Amino acid sequence: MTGVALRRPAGPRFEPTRWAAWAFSALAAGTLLAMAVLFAVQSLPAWRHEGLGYLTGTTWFYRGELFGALPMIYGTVVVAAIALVLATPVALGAALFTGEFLGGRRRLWIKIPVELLAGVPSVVYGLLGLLLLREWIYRLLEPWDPLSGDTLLTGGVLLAVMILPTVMTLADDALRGVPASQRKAARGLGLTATEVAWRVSLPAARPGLVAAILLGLGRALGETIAVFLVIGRQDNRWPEPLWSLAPVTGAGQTLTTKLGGSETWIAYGDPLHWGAMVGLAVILLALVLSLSLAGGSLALAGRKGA
Amino acid sequence: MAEALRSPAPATTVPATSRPVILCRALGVSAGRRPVLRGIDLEVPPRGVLGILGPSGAGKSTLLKCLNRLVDLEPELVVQGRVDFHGAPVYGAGVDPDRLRERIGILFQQPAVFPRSIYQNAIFGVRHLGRAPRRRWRQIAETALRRVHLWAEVRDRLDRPAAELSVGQQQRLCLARTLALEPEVVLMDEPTSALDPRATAAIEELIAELSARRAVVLVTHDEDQARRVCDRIARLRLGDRGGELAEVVPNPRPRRREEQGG
Amino acid sequence: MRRAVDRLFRLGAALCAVGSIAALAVIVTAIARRGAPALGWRLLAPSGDPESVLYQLLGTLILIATALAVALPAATALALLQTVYLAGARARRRLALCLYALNGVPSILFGIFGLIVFVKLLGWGKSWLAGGLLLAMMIVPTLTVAIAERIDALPRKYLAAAAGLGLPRGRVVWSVILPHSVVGMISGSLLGLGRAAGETAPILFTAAVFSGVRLPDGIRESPVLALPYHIFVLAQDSFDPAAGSRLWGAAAVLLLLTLAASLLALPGRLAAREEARHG
Repeated sequence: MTGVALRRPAGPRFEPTRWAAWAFSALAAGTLLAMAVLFAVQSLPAWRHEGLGYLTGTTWFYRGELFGALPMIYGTVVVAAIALVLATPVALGAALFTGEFLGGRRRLWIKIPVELLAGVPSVVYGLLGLLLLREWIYRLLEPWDPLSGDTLLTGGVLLAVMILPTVMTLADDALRGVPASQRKAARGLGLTATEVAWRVSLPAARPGLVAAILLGLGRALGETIAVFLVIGRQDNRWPEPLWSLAPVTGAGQTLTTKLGGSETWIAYGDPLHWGAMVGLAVILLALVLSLSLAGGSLALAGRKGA
Repeated sequence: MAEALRSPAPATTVPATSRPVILCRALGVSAGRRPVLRGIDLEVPPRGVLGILGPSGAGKSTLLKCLNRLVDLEPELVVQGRVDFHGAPVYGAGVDPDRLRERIGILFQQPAVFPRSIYQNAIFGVRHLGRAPRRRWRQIAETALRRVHLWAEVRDRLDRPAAELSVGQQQRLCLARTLALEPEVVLMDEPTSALDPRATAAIEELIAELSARRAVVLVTHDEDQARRVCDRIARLRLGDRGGELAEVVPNPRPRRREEQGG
Repeated sequence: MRRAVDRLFRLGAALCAVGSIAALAVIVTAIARRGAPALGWRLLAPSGDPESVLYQLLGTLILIATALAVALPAATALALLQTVYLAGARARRRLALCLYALNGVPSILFGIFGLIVFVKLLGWGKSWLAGGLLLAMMIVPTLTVAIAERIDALPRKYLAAAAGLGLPRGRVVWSVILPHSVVGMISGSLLGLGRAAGETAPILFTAAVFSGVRLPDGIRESPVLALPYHIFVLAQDSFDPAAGSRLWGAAAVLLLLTLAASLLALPGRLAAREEARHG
């Protein structure tokens, strides 16, 4: 965003429009701040009760006042990682196709469906996950004798499709920010289109591409409803031994699915239990905000250089 | 002769014959229904500078880009007629346009340096086309930079970003990048129009030096520049159906200095 | 060899693109095949019919309208701040970062936030207003970017001309910039609408119920029915065959609504983006 240069009025004059702009913006920023503060304060009882064990504990049993968030963090990370690993190559490939190889208006033939894909509500993804994906995953896992198709893997695969448009659109933007003159110069030296993509465009667009992946990851970490429907929502799934993949091919729980479940209603009256629930929100917010800020500053830096 | 385009280019072997290195017959280009160029018959001798002059819109740049098939990058442009490089059709089946572009280099109006160091820019083509082993890159970079008279100015800051150079220096760096690949022909699309008079003079001097050993095709809108540096001048005019070739005339000019280095 | 690699790589990229489109095709056909038999006027039957999603649709429209009414002025203000009123590139950068941050906040966290603030602290219980406000917060970044992109694409000569007439800045904003950004407001609103209509997580605890109400008649304890929530609840008993056709009909309506919004938003959005690159 380059901004519009307009002459400021001479002298300190009251400008209602400007004042209103500031007020609304303060409101928006204030909301975000209020959310962070509120979450932090309300989660205090849990931190006091569990200490760092809140982050490292592997058991969550609220009747016994045991609150260990690690299995949920594990579930969140695993699901998002699967999504990222599956979605990134496809998204970058598609972005290369539209941003690098397809010229002119023809790229819209790809861009429009992808924008539409981004507009599909997550509950619809969840529904199709329930209906189709769960079956496919169940059959895929059949040799290992799964209990059902509700697994972290299912959640990850579903999320991969959901973040694909995010990563692809941002990556396409980044690639299109690379000046055409550089591509032409490299082609003039005799590099093939593929070589130009690898040697010129991808390196030049790198900040924007990393931003695309980080922001996609942020979306994956925070998605609730679709994952909720296919993940089985089983507490306390922790890999024993650590490299065991059993929790991945079985049901599990993520930070978001825990928060979206009925335990949120149960917890509200009890400060400790509620604190533990809101603590999950704090963890999630911290994870996602750091990703958005890192991704955002990279995207902005990339755009400035373009 | 089509084989010539498929095999790796031999280093700096300009045929001794005086047969034209590039030859256009009835070359025409159209953008959709709109004609851009038509009926161009043109010969590029193996040495010397061929200038292409003409009013804007007459298709000078397009003509240039037809010679190394850079027109392929603009899908709306359709090329008809015939272009031969060493007697083999450039638009024939089985021709690798990328190989062709290695041997027919091009310099654009605006210098397009990559966002990397001066050194990396100089060896960009050699490195990524796998033309020479890593141990020879330094030498190649130095030779190329010396040839464009840039070595003395940049030898102490080869690892600085190329974008820090002045526009004139950037243009010479782009020329060095192309020359490092030892092209047989260098196409230049108004290479001095973004430059100040001093930088322009430097490029013109380089053109004169280069043309002692290879063909240079120079598109320019500057009549005086054409008189100063060209051996022959082709004039385009705007016809009813796109740019046409009006005439090709010899242009006697002061004897040039021999190319240095390389 | 190089040519073969080039061809293969470009083919691979094309396949990735085709794969992304195929994903959309699978989604749309899967929903359409099962939802089409249910589609019909019965879905909009006024009362009594268990297949009807009339009140779910109306509830969703109430939520969207509230969200847009709140988000549009806020987003316009933010876009003006971003493009006109913030003086330095640094301040603009900070605001842009804030928008990235807000855009990244997971929707479930808005739900929890709303539960704490509106449902409990303010004592509204489940209320359409809470849902609308939360959805508004979620779509503000989308709207802001759409409007700011449009303002950025504004030809500089208009601004110079307006300033040359001696118009003060506030007047230029109202007479030149805002009228020009109407396209951005519309396409941004449509995008926001598409997103808000499909969101379930923010209204889960704050605004939506599955049955027992029709239209809200106040603020406190006045929840709404909503399409995504309806689908969400039915999906969880999807083993119940009776739920089946109600489920797919509702899903088809929701998908139709959101895709239509995205499609309508496209022309204005693409125009702004392409212009911004070339202008």
